[in-house]
Amino acid sequence: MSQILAAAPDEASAVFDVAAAMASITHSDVHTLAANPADYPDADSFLAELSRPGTLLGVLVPHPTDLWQVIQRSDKPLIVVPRHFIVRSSPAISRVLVPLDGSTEAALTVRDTMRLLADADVELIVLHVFDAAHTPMFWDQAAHARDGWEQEFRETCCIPPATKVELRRGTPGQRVVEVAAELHPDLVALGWSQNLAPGRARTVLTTVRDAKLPVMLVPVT
Amino acid sequence: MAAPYPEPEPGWAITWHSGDRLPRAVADAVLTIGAHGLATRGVAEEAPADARPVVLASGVYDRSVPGERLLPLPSWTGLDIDPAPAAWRQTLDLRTGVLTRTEAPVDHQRPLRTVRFVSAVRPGIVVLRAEATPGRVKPGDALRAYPGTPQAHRTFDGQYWLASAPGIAVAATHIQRDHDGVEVTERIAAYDTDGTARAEDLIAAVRRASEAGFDRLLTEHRTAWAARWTDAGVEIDGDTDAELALRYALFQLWCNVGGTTEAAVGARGLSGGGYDGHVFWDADVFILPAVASMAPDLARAMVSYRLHRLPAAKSAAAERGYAGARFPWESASLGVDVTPVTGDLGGETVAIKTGLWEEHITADVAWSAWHYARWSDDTAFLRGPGRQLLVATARYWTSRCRLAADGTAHIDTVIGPDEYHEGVSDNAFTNIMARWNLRTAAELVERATGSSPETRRWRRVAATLVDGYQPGTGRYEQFAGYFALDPLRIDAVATPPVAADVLLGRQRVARSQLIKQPDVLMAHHLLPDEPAPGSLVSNLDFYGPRTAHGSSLSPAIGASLLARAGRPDDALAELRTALRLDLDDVTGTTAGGLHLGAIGGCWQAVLFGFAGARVADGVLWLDPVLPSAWSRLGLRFGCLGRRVRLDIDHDDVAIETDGPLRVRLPGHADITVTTRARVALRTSQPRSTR
Repeated sequence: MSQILAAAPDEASAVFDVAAAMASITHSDVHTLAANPADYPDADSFLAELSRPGTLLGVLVPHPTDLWQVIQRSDKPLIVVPRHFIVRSSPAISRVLVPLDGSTEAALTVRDTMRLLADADVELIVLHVFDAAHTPMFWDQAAHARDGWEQEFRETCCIPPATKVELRRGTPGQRVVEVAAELHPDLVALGWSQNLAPGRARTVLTTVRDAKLPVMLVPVT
Repeated sequence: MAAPYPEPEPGWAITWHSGDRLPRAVADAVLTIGAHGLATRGVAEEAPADARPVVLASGVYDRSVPGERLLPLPSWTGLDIDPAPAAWRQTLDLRTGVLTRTEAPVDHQRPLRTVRFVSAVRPGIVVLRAEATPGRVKPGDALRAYPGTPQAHRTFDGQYWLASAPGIAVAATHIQRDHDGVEVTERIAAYDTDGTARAEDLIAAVRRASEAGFDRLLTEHRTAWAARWTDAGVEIDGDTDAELALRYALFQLWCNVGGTTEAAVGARGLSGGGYDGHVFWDADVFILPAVASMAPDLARAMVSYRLHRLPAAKSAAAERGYAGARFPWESASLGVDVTPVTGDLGGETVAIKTGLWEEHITADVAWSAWHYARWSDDTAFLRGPGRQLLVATARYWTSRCRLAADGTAHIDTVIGPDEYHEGVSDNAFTNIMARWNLRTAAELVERATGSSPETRRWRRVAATLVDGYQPGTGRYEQFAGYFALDPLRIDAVATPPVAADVLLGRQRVARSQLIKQPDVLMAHHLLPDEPAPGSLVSNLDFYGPRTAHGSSLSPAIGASLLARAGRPDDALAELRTALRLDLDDVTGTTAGGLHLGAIGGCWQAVLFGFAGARVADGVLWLDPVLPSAWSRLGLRFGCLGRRVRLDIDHDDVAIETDGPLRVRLPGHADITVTTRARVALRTSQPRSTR
């Protein structure tokens, strides 16, 4: 049976609630790697466990020193749970926010995740933020333009049918955090290229830093 | 078996592979085929009916939905194919108007091949042939209803399928036969888009086509397309990409514009349900001028669409307390305004004011009728229905103008082509178009019946209508107060084309000098003699850096203006953007249908921009200029009742006609070309950059 890998420095951590919710969605077991500070694994140990066949994804808290090492090197999705996050609903994951920039690459990265969540009756909300790099060239008539744009956006990004699409303008990372606070999802799911070079992954960095909820990072395969 | 449809010649094929990066629905739109006001998207035969219509007909709207939308018609292309093809390519042969589909080689079975066309000879007749391993293709229902159109009534009498809905009826049949181990399925359908044919008429039409047989139907169809390409066409030495894209533009204009007594041409033509099939100024100002040079009868049908709705336009004016006729910003079957009242600007719900305020449409409609008549030399039209139209619109403008105490006339609370600034007064484009409308109507009436108090009033209002021209700079102020706005340039925001209103928000762009598309310059484009002489360049230099090109209509017109301003390399750069709009889906919305206004604009950019063609006083004026990447531009088009062929290089232009044609080129006396003439182009004189 497949597994969800969970690592947290204490038993009461929301990591285990989130991992249990993902296990329910994926019909997996939870494999607990640590439940006290002394046993908390370093990056290499965590990645070694994560790389085992049958492990679907990892759930962890942002360890002060190793977090980005783990995130950058993992070839499997990871959910980063804020250290003092408290799960307030049951199931722990019933609504997920999926920011998409409209590119085929980003869409393909999270396509399977969206499908999995949709099949498990999780409510999906896709967020697209118009910034200078991702604003359409043309918006002919505001009376009609969104219908055609959104229909094709859904097809390009393989968005499951019942998914709601939210549009905003501004800086993507900032808007993701704001919309997360506004719409109260239980999780944000982001595709990313694992490239932390200057100027890259701004949305990921901002979301992990500022969003007060678990963030799933799905690496480009 | 493959002989009747050989591979297209190089430079005439649009090819699409099933694994393309773009959504399948984009290919469906790009591979649209059509004729006589009936078009079909390039959907795969086994594709299930999805969220988009497959078959649409000009002017056939579903009036049961608020605001009307084009009615999705029963589809004739559906086949049940088991196993379904995994990989294939589709090829649209622009020269012959035939869409073929060829499956990638598969082990142990003959690759599926389909051929389809919408007959260019027999209005409403559509033909499909499929070849496959026996037993793989099941024809199933010959007519397949679009989901959510329960009003379509379908029957099957054992040989013919019949379907009908308000305004439309269709009959279809198919046969299957073996041919040397290949199973051939042939389907023929007849659509009646007038809503007048009886079932027996349609069955008779299908029977006649069936008796003619696939090969004859295909042969006559190809012959008709060959004739079209002798009437209009393009060759560009040194730029095969632009040449192919321009041929595609002409092809889709022929496919999407048509009708029997009139042609309602929506923003996406018949290639998709986008914009609900509503008719905007795209039809009058962007599509019609192109069509007039390709097929004057089709342009006349487009004008008829407006003429038939003149009573509705008169009612609209009266309802608002004005005289004359006021045409709607968005129009469908009835000619009443069907513009929605709310919309969406990149996620922000916004009030839509275009239906209330974008009133230049009324002058645009008048201009299109006048342009058709002048370009085609249809003088009888301007003495009859054309004059009635211009009189009605002139009466509207007279009553719509506010006369100030200082004797000047003004038009308040409008939206110009720019659309980033709403509810403005004295929009230069609107006022120049209204002024032209008033003067032209006066001229037509006075030519027929002499001067009258009414024509003198029109001329008086025209003479006092302000247009924002500032002689010191040569610039027109786009509207009263525009020059006082934040002088933001588009390069400070993003690289155009960009939907600046989506990026910045409606309020921010409204406070700035950013504009969506040519506005003042649209007057230079449509009416080169109306703006002040020499003002093209000064306004191009001012408004160009402020133009976001956030409308798909914008780049092609920008290209035309730049060419006329003697900047052909800059013009070509903008034209390339316009030419690839749909072929590369750069708008992200082509799945909903082709941007037919932009397509018409591309042909205008070449004909009016690079060739510098225009008609005045029964004379074809030419002022060619070529970009450095083009060594020769060959054009075929119709003008003043003649077929014209131009061969333009950097030194001279060769002109061929099929009858006497007066031609004027800068630096030369007028010549009358009877068969062929060659004229040297000036190289040192500036272009007439009006």
